[in-house]
Amino acid sequence: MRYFSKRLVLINLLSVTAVVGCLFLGNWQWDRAHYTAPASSSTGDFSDLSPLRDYLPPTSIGIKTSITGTWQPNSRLEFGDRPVDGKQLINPKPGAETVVSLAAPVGNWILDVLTLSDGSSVGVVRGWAPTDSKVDLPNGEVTLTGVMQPSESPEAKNLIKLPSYITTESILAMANSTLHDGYFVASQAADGLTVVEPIFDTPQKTGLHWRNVVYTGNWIIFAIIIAGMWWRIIQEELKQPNKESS
Amino acid sequence: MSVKKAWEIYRALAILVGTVLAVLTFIAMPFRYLIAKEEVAAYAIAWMIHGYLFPLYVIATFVLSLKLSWPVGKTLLVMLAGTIPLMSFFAERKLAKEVLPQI
Repeated sequence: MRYFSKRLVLINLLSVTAVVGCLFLGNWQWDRAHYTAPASSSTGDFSDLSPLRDYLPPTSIGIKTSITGTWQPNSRLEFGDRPVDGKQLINPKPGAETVVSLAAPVGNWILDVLTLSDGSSVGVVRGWAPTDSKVDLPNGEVTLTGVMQPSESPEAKNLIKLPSYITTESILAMANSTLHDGYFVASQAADGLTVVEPIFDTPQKTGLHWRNVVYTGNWIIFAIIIAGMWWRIIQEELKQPNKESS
Repeated sequence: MSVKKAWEIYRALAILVGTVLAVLTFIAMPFRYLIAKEEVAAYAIAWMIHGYLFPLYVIATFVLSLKLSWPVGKTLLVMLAGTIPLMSFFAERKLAKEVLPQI
């Protein structure tokens, strides 16, 4: 009856839990690795397009949506050396670090943080201005239509060299509450500003996030290793003379 | 596989994992979070490589533990040493004194 000693039962329980846990986490990473295109409509609900505490799905990029909230004071960020048309920021020579002389005029993209009704925040590009400009923050609730854009990354998103990139992290430094990944480009400009043409307007269809695929593999390997250790522990336990049977 | 071979594989991986983890912890992490302060592709890839090297280290430790009939506790401690920066070097030195006379 050594197979049913308290010690062995405990070892088996712990091992099964650990193996199942690893496989569960692997499965979770595998789910996260996939993304699929949303219903073939060009408009969507913001909460569906931009899940809080998650990356902006590539399928949400450029889909028209609307947000309602109040402006967070003192959250202004200005991103310089940018044209009105964001598409000019796409690197014509993928892979190379390219300095492009942009067609004039070049100015700032003005970003403020909007606090949504659920308390979360999103960075909003309110428009373009040729030089440092005084743009007021209206009090009270505003509703904006526009599109979500991914956090900018010169390499991953294939952009030209710029003095600053609009990243989730740069907006996070200004936001007072949980921030949505990416940023919103308003399709009506604030008073005194010109409407910015977003860089990315086509949602990506389906594919795999290769990082999550890599993590899936890690979890499977950990599960196999734990199973191996389990087998080893059992071997050792059974080799020992009957010291504790129940 | 001979004990000697198992020891050599363990030793190579202990040094490799130790070096990668030390570089990641003491050089790459401060660079990523204090200097670059943004997503660095090479940094993420380096951690992924570590994510696959470490299981190899664990497997090598496991094989060696079978060859030398180590108790489970000791095996787990040596595996754990691979997760603490610089600790795998100490573990390797300590084990070398014990294992080398046997092979």
